[in-house]
Amino acid sequence: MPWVNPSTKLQNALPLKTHPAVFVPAAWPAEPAGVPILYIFPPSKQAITSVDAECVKYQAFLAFSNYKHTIQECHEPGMSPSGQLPFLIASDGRILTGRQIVEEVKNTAGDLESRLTDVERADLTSFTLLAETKLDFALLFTLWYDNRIRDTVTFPMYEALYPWPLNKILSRQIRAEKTEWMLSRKSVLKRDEILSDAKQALAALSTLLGSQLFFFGSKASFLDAVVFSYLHVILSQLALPGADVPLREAVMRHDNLVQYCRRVFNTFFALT
Amino acid sequence: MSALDNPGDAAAFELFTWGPAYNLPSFDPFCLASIAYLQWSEVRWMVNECNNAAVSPRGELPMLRDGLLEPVVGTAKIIAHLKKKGHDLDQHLSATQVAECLAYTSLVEEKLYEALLFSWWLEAQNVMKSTRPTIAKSLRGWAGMRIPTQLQQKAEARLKKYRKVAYKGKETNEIYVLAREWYAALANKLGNQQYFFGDRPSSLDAVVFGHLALHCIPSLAEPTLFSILTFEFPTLHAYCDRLRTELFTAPLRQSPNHRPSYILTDMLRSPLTYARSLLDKLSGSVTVPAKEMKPKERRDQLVTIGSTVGAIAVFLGYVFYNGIVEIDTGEWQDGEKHNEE
Repeated sequence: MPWVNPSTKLQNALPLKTHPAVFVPAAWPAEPAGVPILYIFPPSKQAITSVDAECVKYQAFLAFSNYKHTIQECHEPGMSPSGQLPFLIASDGRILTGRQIVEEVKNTAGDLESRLTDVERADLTSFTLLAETKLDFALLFTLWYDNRIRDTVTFPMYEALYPWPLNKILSRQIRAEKTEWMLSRKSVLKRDEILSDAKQALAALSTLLGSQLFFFGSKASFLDAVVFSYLHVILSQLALPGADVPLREAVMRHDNLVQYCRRVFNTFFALT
Repeated sequence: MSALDNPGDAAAFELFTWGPAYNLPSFDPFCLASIAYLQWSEVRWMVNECNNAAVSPRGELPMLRDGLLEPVVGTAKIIAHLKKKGHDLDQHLSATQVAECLAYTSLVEEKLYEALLFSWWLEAQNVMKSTRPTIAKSLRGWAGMRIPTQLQQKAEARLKKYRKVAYKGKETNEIYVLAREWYAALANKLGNQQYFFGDRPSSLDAVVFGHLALHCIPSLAEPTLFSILTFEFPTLHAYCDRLRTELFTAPLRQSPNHRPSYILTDMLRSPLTYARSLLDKLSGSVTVPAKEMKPKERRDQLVTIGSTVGAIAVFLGYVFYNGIVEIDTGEWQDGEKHNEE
């Protein structure tokens, strides 16, 4: 019989008695149901796509991959592990965000991009990042720093979520956060510069799309989800009666992008 | 001695950059990209390592000054300006390739740059042992104590959202996983070609070189990016090495407008550099561009400067030694006494 250190023996003996826990919160959601749940920022009335581009991106990606899931509305980004909506509760109860969602969907519902060559895959990554940086920045800037959009779209959107006076405070807090985020990327925020960046990006995407059904041939990919999300939010959210929003005008100038956006929406999101 | 005194210099472009480090002409990837573009476009240009973002109207470097026009700030704008002036490296690209060029440029400038920032400013070992001391040395003087802190704070604000994830059984930061993906995209795009779009450099090559050259520095305390590049993407590493030798065969031409700073710390830290910059300014030798000076001329010039300094020193020594001039300290004490009364 091997010699056992008495201090180890003592440690193994402890604790002498274990009491049952006083309170255990119920597993949430109530049971890890077989169906994964995607938590998204609430959509506007009469629509099933969220008003937030990041959420639309994953909604579209899940729809493209035919991934079975239900949707839950949620306006508290703090609920997500990454602090940013959306997040997905997988069928086994894991909580996933961002890239993890993409990996999970690829593993369970099949990889949309498996047919692409290495060079096409490289293009896919670079164009995805082009849209995610340039279009995202322009959209964010327009939402918070275009006076008409801010007063008629953005502030009402966030203020509707909380009671007065909390809504006034929280919406301004969100604006301060977004401003800080933008300033950490650009030292000077100039409307013309941000817009011309977005215009270049749109022109590049329009060239890549050409007259194809999707960006890489006849099947959708992650890039399609990304571009669709921004185009859809720009075209639907920034539509003001009797006023031109420069970013929306810039999108409208590319006929194939507008047609593409309409086609994707009708195929995957039209209410039947 | 302003640039306008010499008609040749008036036509030249002047690029204001952050200073050299790690055997490269600048420690800032955006400055490096602009330098690479200018080198390839074969224009007359000179570099001004001003190390002071306050010279630019937007508080950013690099800045390009083209004669008396308003200065152009930022790599993208500098490249656009040079294209407008007829120095277009992207002429041979098709419409699709122009779109690709833009996409890869944004990948490098927005995303790979974040990986560099992370490795330089959020890895405690690197900050303490490598980046902070190296950049402080390159900046010299007061700026060297102030600017690294600013850079670090900026990087921290920008990289807040990256989390730790598990990768191949090890815990690592998300950004290194993503960086692998981005490198893979670049490596696949490059393939076996000499440059990204065939056998002629384009603006994308300038941007990629500017950033990747700083990614593959082996002397960091924690060279994670360097090891990823060398072991997993050897083509990119070879590409960087090749471009580095191709671009910087001759020393860059220094601007005559580069003024020595008169801060005491500068004199104390590197008296030689300081004295040389002062002498250059006085003797007016800077109008001869460094690139075109032959070794013999350089030696002659050094002899001239040396003999002048020697003669002055001997004269002063003689004067003091023989008591022709005396510094009288007695008067000063009298003054003090007078004050006490």
